[in-house]
Amino acid sequence: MTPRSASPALSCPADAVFDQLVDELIAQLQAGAAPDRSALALAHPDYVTRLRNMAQTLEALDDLSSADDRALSSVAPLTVAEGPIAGLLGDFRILREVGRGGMGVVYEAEQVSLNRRVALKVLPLAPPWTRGNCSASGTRRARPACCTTPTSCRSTEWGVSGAFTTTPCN
Amino acid sequence: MLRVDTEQLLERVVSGDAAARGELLQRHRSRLRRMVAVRVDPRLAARVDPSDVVQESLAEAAANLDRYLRERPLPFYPWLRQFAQRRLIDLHRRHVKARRRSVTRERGSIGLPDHSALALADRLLARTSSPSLRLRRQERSDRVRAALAALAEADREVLVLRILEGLPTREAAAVLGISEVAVRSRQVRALDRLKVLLGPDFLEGEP
Repeated sequence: MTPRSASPALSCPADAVFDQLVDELIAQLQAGAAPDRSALALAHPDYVTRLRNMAQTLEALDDLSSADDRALSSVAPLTVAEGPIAGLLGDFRILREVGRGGMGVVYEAEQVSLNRRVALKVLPLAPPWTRGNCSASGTRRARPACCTTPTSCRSTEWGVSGAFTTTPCN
Repeated sequence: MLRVDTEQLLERVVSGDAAARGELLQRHRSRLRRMVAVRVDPRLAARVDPSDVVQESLAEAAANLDRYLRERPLPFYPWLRQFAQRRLIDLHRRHVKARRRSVTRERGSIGLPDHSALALADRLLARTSSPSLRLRRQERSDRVRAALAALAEADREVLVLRILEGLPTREAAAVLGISEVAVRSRQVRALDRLKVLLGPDFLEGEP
């Protein structure tokens, strides 16, 4: 077995077949059925040990998920509020929120390195329209950067900070 | 099943069935409620009623439903879930960041260990009769929560969406903005890491 990364948690290589099997285990749990470990062992002898470990870990999580709402309170609070609202986002100091829409939030911000005021558009990391590789995302952002009209801002750059994609506009 | 029904309801809404509009939104109420419970900031948990957040989110979604039907930017539930997410962020900004009232003080007044752990203990009490077994289950749940908290956010998110919020792969992919293949891969990686964080004794103790 070759480690997938330096993380001690990753001890197995990527395996699409195994990924699919685990996905099916999760679907079984969501349907309210405990995974049948014996059947899995018979059907997938190559994955017996990994599947057993996965099933045990999943069942531990499922025990937690079967708790009522109060017991689950704040297991994974939204952290998106922390980034831009806390004040600093990468090179930008957030001054105020200008507006928000379905795709993200626009802030008035100060670009610290250039000491200038900008409108900063903050999007969730990897929204649906940026699916694909980073170079494709960059190409899409390059278009507004070279396109200005009286009714649209000019996007001067873009970047990724924490869980956000940022695009400052003049 | 949920997805098929949702698609059927969407078709009925498009064809002008007024009753289907309400049914479409109401059928996801419990999922939204669970999402709010899992996601609410611990400092707000004592003062935010998940039902209110859900109700307001459903009302906002209803007002935007026609636009959704024209554009269909996401599968329905991930789209609906965004309203609750935004509302929670707004609540966080109003109550925590603006510090209109000291939520910190309120949190202290609840007392620690937090109420969620106590509620879980209550639930286990109802389920089992042996004090030692109850204690063991409580310890296991606490360890799962702690291990989840120690995961990197990307890993924790995929597990919370899939296991705690109960989203199918397709919807989790839409929420995360990644492919279904990437969701499958990421959740295996996250489970591997969670297993390590839980420690070998945790799984060895499994029945």
